[in-house]
Amino acid sequence: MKKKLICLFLCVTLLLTMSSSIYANEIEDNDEYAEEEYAMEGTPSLARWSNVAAISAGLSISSGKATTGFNVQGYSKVTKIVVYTYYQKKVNGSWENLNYVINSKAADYIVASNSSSSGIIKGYTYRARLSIYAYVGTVYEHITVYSNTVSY
Amino acid sequence: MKYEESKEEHGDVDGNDMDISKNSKLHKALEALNDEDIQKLMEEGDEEESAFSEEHNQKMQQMIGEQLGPEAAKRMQAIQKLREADRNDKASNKHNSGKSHHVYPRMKKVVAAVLAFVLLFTVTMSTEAFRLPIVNFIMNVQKEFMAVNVEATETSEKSVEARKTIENVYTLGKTIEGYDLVLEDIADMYVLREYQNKEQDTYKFFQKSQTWNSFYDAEGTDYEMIETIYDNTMLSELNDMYYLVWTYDGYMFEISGSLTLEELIMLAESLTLEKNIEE
Repeated sequence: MKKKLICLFLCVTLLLTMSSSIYANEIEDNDEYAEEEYAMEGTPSLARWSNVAAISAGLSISSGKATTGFNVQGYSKVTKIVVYTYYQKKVNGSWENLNYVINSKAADYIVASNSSSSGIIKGYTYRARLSIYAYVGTVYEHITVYSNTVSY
Repeated sequence: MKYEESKEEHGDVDGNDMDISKNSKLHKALEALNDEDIQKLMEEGDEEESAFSEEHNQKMQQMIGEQLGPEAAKRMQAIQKLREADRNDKASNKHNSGKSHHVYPRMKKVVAAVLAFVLLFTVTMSTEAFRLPIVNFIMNVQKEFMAVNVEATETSEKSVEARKTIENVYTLGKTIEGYDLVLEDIADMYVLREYQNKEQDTYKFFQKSQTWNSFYDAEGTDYEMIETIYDNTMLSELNDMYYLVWTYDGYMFEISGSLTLEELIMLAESLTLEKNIEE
Protein backbone atom coordinates (compact mmCIF):
# COMPACT_ATOMS: atom_id res chain seq x y z
CA MET A 1 0.00 0.00 0.00
CA LYS A 2 2.82 2.35 0.96
CA LYS A 3 4.69 1.56 -2.25
CA LYS A 4 1.60 2.19 -4.32
CA LEU A 5 1.16 5.58 -2.69
CA ILE A 6 4.79 6.53 -3.39
CA CYS A 7 4.44 5.42 -7.02
CA LEU A 8 1.24 7.40 -7.41
CA PHE A 9 2.86 10.49 -5.89
CA LEU A 10 5.85 10.17 -8.24
CA CYS A 11 3.63 9.76 -11.29
CA VAL A 12 1.51 12.80 -10.40
CA THR A 13 4.62 14.91 -9.75
CA LEU A 14 6.18 13.87 -13.07
CA LEU A 15 2.98 14.55 -14.95
CA LEU A 16 2.53 17.99 -13.41
CA THR A 17 6.11 19.10 -13.89
CA MET A 18 6.32 17.87 -17.47
CA SER A 19 3.06 19.47 -18.48
CA SER A 20 4.14 22.78 -16.93
CA SER A 21 7.34 22.57 -18.99
CA ILE A 22 5.31 22.43 -22.15
CA TYR A 23 3.32 25.44 -21.05
CA ALA A 24 6.52 27.38 -20.33
CA ASN A 25 7.86 26.53 -23.75
CA GLU A 26 4.79 27.89 -25.47
CA ILE A 27 5.09 31.41 -24.11
CA GLU A 28 8.40 31.88 -25.94
CA ASP A 29 6.62 32.61 -29.15
CA ASN A 30 2.86 32.95 -29.09
CA ASP A 31 2.44 32.75 -32.83
CA GLU A 32 1.73 29.75 -34.91
CA TYR A 33 3.35 29.00 -38.19
CA ALA A 34 0.96 26.36 -39.40
CA GLU A 35 0.03 28.45 -42.44
CA GLU A 36 3.49 28.39 -43.96
CA GLU A 37 3.91 24.71 -43.15
CA TYR A 38 0.66 23.88 -44.94
CA ALA A 39 1.63 26.08 -47.86
CA MET A 40 4.91 24.30 -48.44
CA GLU A 41 4.86 21.87 -51.33
CA GLY A 42 7.19 18.93 -51.54
CA THR A 43 8.84 16.69 -48.98
CA PRO A 44 10.63 18.01 -45.91
CA SER A 45 14.17 16.85 -45.23
CA LEU A 46 15.49 16.36 -41.73
CA ALA A 47 18.92 17.63 -42.76
CA ARG A 48 20.00 21.15 -41.81
CA TRP A 49 22.55 23.26 -43.65
CA SER A 50 22.93 20.70 -46.39
CA ASN A 51 21.37 22.93 -49.06
CA VAL A 52 22.26 26.35 -47.69
CA ALA A 53 25.76 27.77 -47.41
CA ALA A 54 25.17 31.26 -45.99
CA ILE A 55 22.39 33.52 -44.75
CA SER A 56 22.42 37.15 -43.73
CA ALA A 57 19.52 39.05 -42.20
CA GLY A 58 19.12 42.59 -40.97
CA LEU A 59 16.47 44.91 -39.62
CA SER A 60 16.32 48.68 -39.28
CA ILE A 61 13.48 50.93 -38.15
CA SER A 62 13.06 54.54 -39.02
CA SER A 63 10.03 56.88 -38.86
CA GLY A 64 7.67 54.04 -37.90
CA LYS A 65 8.77 51.86 -40.81
CA ALA A 66 10.61 48.59 -40.33
CA THR A 67 12.84 47.48 -43.18
CA THR A 68 14.33 44.02 -43.42
CA GLY A 69 16.95 42.75 -45.78
CA PHE A 70 18.36 39.30 -46.30
CA ASN A 71 20.36 37.17 -48.65
CA VAL A 72 20.45 33.38 -48.82
CA GLN A 73 23.21 31.58 -50.70
CA GLY A 74 22.32 27.98 -51.47
CA TYR A 75 24.60 25.35 -52.92
CA SER A 76 24.53 24.96 -56.69
CA LYS A 77 22.15 21.98 -56.42
CA VAL A 78 19.42 24.23 -54.97
CA THR A 79 16.56 24.87 -57.40
CA LYS A 80 14.28 27.18 -55.42
CA ILE A 81 14.36 29.23 -52.23
CA VAL A 82 11.30 30.46 -50.34
CA VAL A 83 11.66 32.92 -47.46
CA TYR A 84 9.00 33.95 -44.97
CA THR A 85 9.97 37.15 -43.15
CA TYR A 86 8.03 37.79 -39.93
CA TYR A 87 8.20 41.16 -38.23
CA GLN A 88 8.17 40.48 -34.52
CA LYS A 89 7.66 42.65 -31.46
CA LYS A 90 8.70 41.71 -27.93
CA VAL A 91 5.75 41.96 -25.56
CA ASN A 92 6.07 40.86 -21.92
CA GLY A 93 9.12 38.79 -22.68
CA SER A 94 7.72 36.90 -25.65
CA TRP A 95 7.82 37.59 -29.37
CA GLU A 96 4.62 38.35 -31.26
CA ASN A 97 4.23 38.42 -35.02
CA LEU A 98 3.09 41.70 -36.52
CA ASN A 99 3.17 40.95 -40.19
CA TYR A 100 4.90 38.70 -42.67
CA VAL A 101 6.13 38.79 -46.26
CA ILE A 102 6.97 35.94 -48.64
CA ASN A 103 9.83 36.08 -51.14
CA SER A 104 10.55 33.27 -53.54
CA LYS A 105 13.00 32.67 -56.36
CA ALA A 106 13.76 29.67 -58.56
CA ALA A 107 17.53 29.92 -58.10
CA ASP A 108 20.29 29.00 -55.67
CA TYR A 109 20.51 32.58 -54.44
CA ILE A 110 17.99 35.12 -53.22
CA VAL A 111 18.33 38.65 -51.93
CA ALA A 112 15.43 40.89 -50.96
CA SER A 113 14.36 43.86 -48.94
CA ASN A 114 10.89 44.35 -47.45
CA SER A 115 9.20 47.06 -45.42
CA SER A 116 6.26 47.16 -43.03
CA SER A 117 4.70 49.82 -40.81
CA SER A 118 2.12 47.54 -39.25
CA GLY A 119 2.29 47.60 -35.45
CA ILE A 120 5.56 49.52 -35.25
CA ILE A 121 5.35 51.83 -32.29
CA LYS A 122 7.99 53.35 -30.06
CA GLY A 123 9.02 51.77 -26.79
CA TYR A 124 9.40 48.19 -27.98
CA THR A 125 12.09 45.87 -29.26
CA TYR A 126 11.74 44.34 -32.72
CA ARG A 127 13.37 41.65 -34.79
CA ALA A 128 12.76 39.71 -37.99
CA ARG A 129 12.26 35.98 -38.00
CA LEU A 130 13.31 34.35 -41.27
CA SER A 131 11.88 30.99 -42.13
CA ILE A 132 13.83 29.66 -45.09
CA TYR A 133 12.95 26.73 -47.33
CA ALA A 134 15.68 25.63 -49.73
CA TYR A 135 14.52 23.14 -52.37
CA VAL A 136 16.45 20.55 -54.31
CA GLY A 137 13.79 19.31 -56.69
CA THR A 138 10.78 18.58 -54.51
CA VAL A 139 12.69 18.00 -51.28
CA TYR A 140 13.31 20.99 -49.05
CA GLU A 141 15.21 21.76 -45.91
CA HIS A 142 13.96 24.31 -43.42
CA ILE A 143 16.15 26.76 -41.50
CA THR A 144 15.05 29.52 -39.14
CA VAL A 145 17.30 32.48 -38.32
CA TYR A 146 16.76 35.85 -36.70
CA SER A 147 17.91 39.31 -37.61
CA ASN A 148 19.54 41.75 -35.25
CA THR A 149 17.18 43.22 -32.67
CA VAL A 150 16.25 46.91 -32.77
CA SER A 151 15.02 48.92 -29.79
CA TYR A 152 12.83 51.63 -31.20
CA MET B 1 -22.71 -55.12 -8.44
CA LYS B 2 -20.75 -53.26 -11.02
CA TYR B 3 -19.62 -50.81 -8.41
CA GLU B 4 -18.31 -53.55 -6.15
CA GLU B 5 -16.29 -55.07 -8.96
CA SER B 6 -14.72 -51.78 -9.65
CA LYS B 7 -13.90 -51.29 -5.98
CA GLU B 8 -12.28 -54.68 -5.89
CA GLU B 9 -9.90 -53.89 -8.67
CA HIS B 10 -8.86 -50.35 -7.85
CA GLY B 11 -9.77 -49.68 -4.23
CA ASP B 12 -11.42 -46.44 -3.22
CA VAL B 13 -9.96 -43.01 -3.69
CA ASP B 14 -8.40 -42.84 -0.26
CA GLY B 15 -6.92 -46.27 -0.53
CA ASN B 16 -9.14 -47.74 2.18
CA ASP B 17 -9.86 -51.43 2.24
CA MET B 18 -7.11 -52.05 -0.27
CA ASP B 19 -7.14 -55.69 -1.20
CA ILE B 20 -4.92 -56.27 -4.14
CA SER B 21 -4.55 -59.81 -5.34
CA LYS B 22 -1.34 -61.06 -6.94
CA ASN B 23 -3.09 -61.23 -10.29
CA SER B 24 -4.64 -57.81 -10.15
CA LYS B 25 -3.78 -55.18 -12.77
CA LEU B 26 -2.35 -52.84 -10.14
CA HIS B 27 -0.02 -55.52 -8.84
CA LYS B 28 1.24 -56.14 -12.38
CA ALA B 29 1.71 -52.44 -12.96
CA LEU B 30 3.62 -52.00 -9.71
CA GLU B 31 5.83 -54.96 -10.55
CA ALA B 32 6.64 -53.42 -13.92
CA LEU B 33 7.80 -50.21 -12.23
CA ASN B 34 11.49 -49.75 -11.70
CA ASP B 35 13.26 -47.00 -9.75
CA GLU B 36 13.50 -44.67 -12.74
CA ASP B 37 9.78 -44.90 -13.36
CA ILE B 38 9.07 -44.11 -9.72
CA GLN B 39 11.42 -41.13 -9.85
CA LYS B 40 9.80 -39.96 -13.09
CA LEU B 41 6.36 -40.16 -11.58
CA MET B 42 7.55 -38.12 -8.61
CA GLU B 43 9.11 -35.46 -10.87
CA GLU B 44 6.01 -35.20 -13.00
CA GLY B 45 4.12 -34.55 -9.84
CA ASP B 46 6.35 -31.52 -9.16
CA GLU B 47 4.85 -29.56 -12.03
CA GLU B 48 1.80 -28.90 -9.94
CA GLU B 49 2.74 -27.92 -6.45
CA SER B 50 0.47 -30.57 -4.96
CA ALA B 51 1.19 -32.87 -2.02
CA PHE B 52 -0.56 -35.93 -0.71
CA SER B 53 -1.59 -36.18 2.90
CA GLU B 54 0.72 -37.86 5.38
CA GLU B 55 -1.85 -40.59 5.85
CA HIS B 56 -2.00 -41.23 2.12
CA ASN B 57 1.78 -41.42 1.90
CA GLN B 58 1.92 -43.97 4.67
CA LYS B 59 -0.67 -46.11 2.94
CA MET B 60 1.21 -45.83 -0.34
CA GLN B 61 4.40 -46.86 1.41
CA GLN B 62 2.66 -49.78 3.05
CA MET B 63 1.17 -50.88 -0.25
CA ILE B 64 4.46 -50.68 -2.11
CA GLY B 65 6.16 -52.50 0.78
CA GLU B 66 3.63 -55.29 0.60
CA GLN B 67 3.80 -55.59 -3.15
CA LEU B 68 7.45 -54.86 -3.99
CA GLY B 69 9.24 -55.45 -0.71
CA PRO B 70 10.68 -53.27 2.06
CA GLU B 71 13.60 -52.02 -0.05
CA ALA B 72 11.28 -50.40 -2.58
CA ALA B 73 9.25 -48.91 0.28
CA LYS B 74 12.44 -47.34 1.74
CA ARG B 75 13.37 -45.92 -1.65
CA MET B 76 9.91 -44.51 -1.97
CA GLN B 77 10.22 -42.95 1.49
CA ALA B 78 13.60 -41.44 0.62
CA ILE B 79 12.23 -39.98 -2.61
CA GLN B 80 9.30 -38.51 -0.76
CA LYS B 81 11.60 -36.88 1.76
CA LEU B 82 13.70 -35.40 -1.01
CA ARG B 83 10.61 -34.13 -2.70
CA GLU B 84 9.35 -32.56 0.49
CA ALA B 85 12.70 -30.88 1.09
CA ASP B 86 12.64 -29.55 -2.48
CA ARG B 87 9.15 -28.20 -1.97
CA ASN B 88 10.24 -26.49 1.23
CA ASP B 89 13.21 -24.88 -0.60
CA LYS B 90 10.93 -23.56 -3.32
CA ALA B 91 8.54 -22.14 -0.77
CA SER B 92 11.45 -20.49 1.02
CA ASN B 93 12.75 -18.92 -2.23
CA LYS B 94 9.31 -17.67 -3.08
CA HIS B 95 9.10 -16.00 0.29
CA ASN B 96 12.52 -14.35 -0.12
CA SER B 97 11.79 -13.11 -3.62
CA GLY B 98 9.26 -10.75 -2.07
CA LYS B 99 12.17 -9.04 -0.30
CA SER B 100 14.01 -7.90 -3.44
CA HIS B 101 16.51 -5.86 -1.47
CA HIS B 102 18.21 -9.12 -0.50
CA VAL B 103 18.44 -10.35 -4.08
CA TYR B 104 18.88 -7.17 -6.16
CA PRO B 105 20.03 -4.39 -3.83
CA ARG B 106 22.02 -2.57 -6.54
CA MET B 107 19.23 -2.63 -9.06
CA LYS B 108 16.89 -1.01 -6.58
CA LYS B 109 19.39 1.74 -5.90
CA VAL B 110 19.88 2.35 -9.63
CA VAL B 111 16.13 2.56 -10.19
CA ALA B 112 15.81 4.96 -7.27
CA ALA B 113 18.66 7.11 -8.63
CA VAL B 114 17.13 7.26 -12.12
CA LEU B 115 13.75 8.19 -10.70
CA ALA B 116 15.31 10.89 -8.53
CA PHE B 117 17.21 12.30 -11.51
CA VAL B 118 14.12 12.36 -13.74
CA LEU B 119 12.13 14.02 -10.97
CA LEU B 120 14.81 16.62 -10.29
CA PHE B 121 15.26 17.29 -14.03
CA THR B 122 11.57 17.75 -14.71
CA VAL B 123 11.05 19.90 -11.62
CA THR B 124 13.97 22.20 -12.48
CA MET B 125 13.04 22.27 -16.17
CA SER B 126 9.57 23.44 -15.26
CA THR B 127 11.05 26.36 -13.39
CA GLU B 128 11.70 29.18 -15.82
CA ALA B 129 14.86 30.30 -14.06
CA PHE B 130 16.42 26.88 -14.58
CA ARG B 131 14.79 25.94 -17.82
CA LEU B 132 15.69 28.96 -19.94
CA PRO B 133 19.45 28.81 -19.39
CA ILE B 134 19.45 25.08 -20.09
CA VAL B 135 17.35 25.46 -23.24
CA ASN B 136 19.50 28.37 -24.40
CA PHE B 137 22.63 26.39 -23.74
CA ILE B 138 21.33 23.47 -25.79
CA MET B 139 20.25 25.81 -28.59
CA ASN B 140 23.62 27.52 -28.62
CA VAL B 141 25.49 24.24 -28.73
CA GLN B 142 23.25 23.10 -31.57
CA LYS B 143 23.83 26.31 -33.48
CA GLU B 144 27.54 26.16 -32.74
CA PHE B 145 27.85 22.85 -34.49
CA MET B 146 25.51 23.58 -37.38
CA ALA B 147 26.06 27.20 -38.25
CA VAL B 148 28.43 30.02 -37.48
CA ASN B 149 26.75 33.24 -36.54
CA VAL B 150 28.77 36.38 -37.20
CA GLU B 151 27.33 39.22 -35.19
CA ALA B 152 29.27 42.35 -35.99
CA THR B 153 28.05 44.46 -33.12
CA GLU B 154 30.81 46.99 -33.19
CA THR B 155 33.13 48.35 -35.79
CA SER B 156 36.87 48.11 -35.57
CA GLU B 157 37.04 51.76 -36.38
CA LYS B 158 35.90 53.06 -33.03
CA SER B 159 34.85 56.41 -34.40
CA VAL B 160 32.49 54.88 -36.98
CA GLU B 161 29.15 53.49 -35.82
CA ALA B 162 27.48 50.61 -37.59
CA ARG B 163 25.30 52.03 -40.34
CA LYS B 164 21.73 50.83 -40.35
CA THR B 165 20.93 51.53 -44.00
CA ILE B 166 22.84 52.12 -47.18
CA GLU B 167 23.90 55.75 -47.13
CA ASN B 168 27.21 55.30 -48.90
CA VAL B 169 27.17 53.06 -51.95
CA TYR B 170 30.42 51.22 -52.57
CA THR B 171 31.63 49.40 -55.65
CA LEU B 172 34.64 47.34 -56.65
CA GLY B 173 37.16 49.43 -58.57
CA LYS B 174 38.49 46.35 -60.37
CA THR B 175 36.93 43.28 -61.96
CA ILE B 176 38.35 39.87 -62.79
CA GLU B 177 39.32 39.53 -66.44
CA GLY B 178 36.59 37.90 -68.52
CA TYR B 179 33.82 38.77 -66.08
CA ASP B 180 31.09 41.34 -66.71
CA LEU B 181 28.56 42.98 -64.41
CA VAL B 182 25.27 41.14 -64.99
CA LEU B 183 23.18 42.20 -61.98
CA GLU B 184 23.03 45.35 -59.87
CA ASP B 185 20.54 45.74 -57.00
CA ILE B 186 20.78 48.80 -54.76
CA ALA B 187 18.23 48.76 -51.94
CA ASP B 188 17.78 50.54 -48.60
CA MET B 189 19.41 47.70 -46.75
CA TYR B 190 22.02 46.32 -49.18
CA VAL B 191 23.89 46.59 -52.43
CA LEU B 192 24.34 43.51 -54.58
CA ARG B 193 26.43 43.25 -57.73
CA GLU B 194 26.92 40.03 -59.63
CA TYR B 195 29.61 39.35 -62.22
CA GLN B 196 29.63 36.50 -64.72
CA ASN B 197 32.01 35.14 -67.38
CA LYS B 198 31.27 33.24 -70.61
CA GLU B 199 31.37 29.91 -68.80
CA GLN B 200 28.65 31.32 -66.55
CA ASP B 201 30.91 31.26 -63.49
CA THR B 202 29.90 34.04 -61.15
CA TYR B 203 31.11 36.02 -58.20
CA LYS B 204 29.08 38.39 -56.05
CA PHE B 205 29.84 41.58 -54.23
CA PHE B 206 27.54 42.33 -51.33
CA GLN B 207 27.37 45.42 -49.11
CA LYS B 208 25.14 45.40 -46.04
CA SER B 209 24.77 47.07 -42.68
CA GLN B 210 27.24 45.96 -40.08
CA THR B 211 24.31 45.22 -37.75
CA TRP B 212 23.16 42.28 -39.85
CA ASN B 213 23.46 38.78 -38.50
CA SER B 214 25.27 36.38 -40.79
CA PHE B 215 25.12 32.60 -40.61
CA TYR B 216 27.41 30.16 -42.39
CA ASP B 217 27.25 26.40 -42.70
CA ALA B 218 29.71 25.30 -40.03
CA GLU B 219 30.18 21.71 -41.07
CA GLY B 220 32.02 22.10 -44.34
CA THR B 221 33.61 25.48 -43.73
CA ASP B 222 37.16 26.52 -42.88
CA TYR B 223 37.69 29.97 -41.41
CA GLU B 224 40.75 32.11 -41.01
CA MET B 225 41.53 35.73 -40.42
CA ILE B 226 43.79 37.11 -43.12
CA GLU B 227 45.72 40.35 -43.49
CA THR B 228 44.44 43.00 -45.85
CA ILE B 229 44.30 46.77 -45.72
CA TYR B 230 41.21 46.40 -43.50
CA ASP B 231 41.39 45.65 -39.80
CA ASN B 232 39.08 42.62 -39.78
CA THR B 233 39.06 40.34 -42.78
CA MET B 234 37.77 36.79 -42.60
CA LEU B 235 38.19 34.19 -45.29
CA SER B 236 35.97 31.15 -45.32
CA GLU B 237 36.09 28.27 -47.76
CA LEU B 238 32.98 26.29 -48.34
CA ASN B 239 32.68 23.60 -51.00
CA ASP B 240 35.24 25.19 -53.37
CA MET B 241 33.61 28.56 -52.87
CA TYR B 242 35.35 31.38 -51.03
CA TYR B 243 33.77 34.05 -48.88
CA LEU B 244 35.85 37.09 -48.08
CA VAL B 245 34.18 39.27 -45.44
CA TRP B 246 35.46 42.55 -44.05
CA THR B 247 34.14 45.66 -42.34
CA TYR B 248 34.62 49.24 -43.35
CA ASP B 249 32.79 52.54 -42.85
CA GLY B 250 30.10 50.90 -40.68
CA TYR B 251 29.29 48.32 -43.36
CA MET B 252 30.01 44.66 -43.84
CA PHE B 253 31.28 43.69 -47.29
CA GLU B 254 31.38 40.24 -48.79
CA ILE B 255 32.78 38.81 -52.00
CA SER B 256 31.85 35.23 -52.79
CA GLY B 257 32.76 32.99 -55.69
CA SER B 258 35.18 30.42 -57.01
CA LEU B 259 38.14 32.78 -57.14
CA THR B 260 41.70 32.53 -55.90
CA LEU B 261 42.77 34.22 -52.67
CA GLU B 262 44.86 36.72 -54.62
CA GLU B 263 41.90 37.65 -56.80
CA LEU B 264 39.66 38.05 -53.75
CA ILE B 265 42.13 40.32 -51.96
CA MET B 266 42.72 42.34 -55.12
CA LEU B 267 38.97 42.91 -55.49
CA ALA B 268 38.48 43.76 -51.80
CA GLU B 269 41.25 46.30 -51.79
CA SER B 270 39.78 48.00 -54.86
CA LEU B 271 36.70 49.06 -52.86
CA THR B 272 35.60 52.51 -53.96
CA LEU B 273 32.91 54.89 -52.73
CA GLU B 274 30.54 55.26 -55.64
CA LYS B 275 28.03 57.71 -54.24
CA ASN B 276 26.63 59.12 -51.06
CA ILE B 277 22.85 58.86 -51.14
CA GLU B 278 22.39 61.53 -48.46
CA GLU B 279 24.16 64.16 -50.54
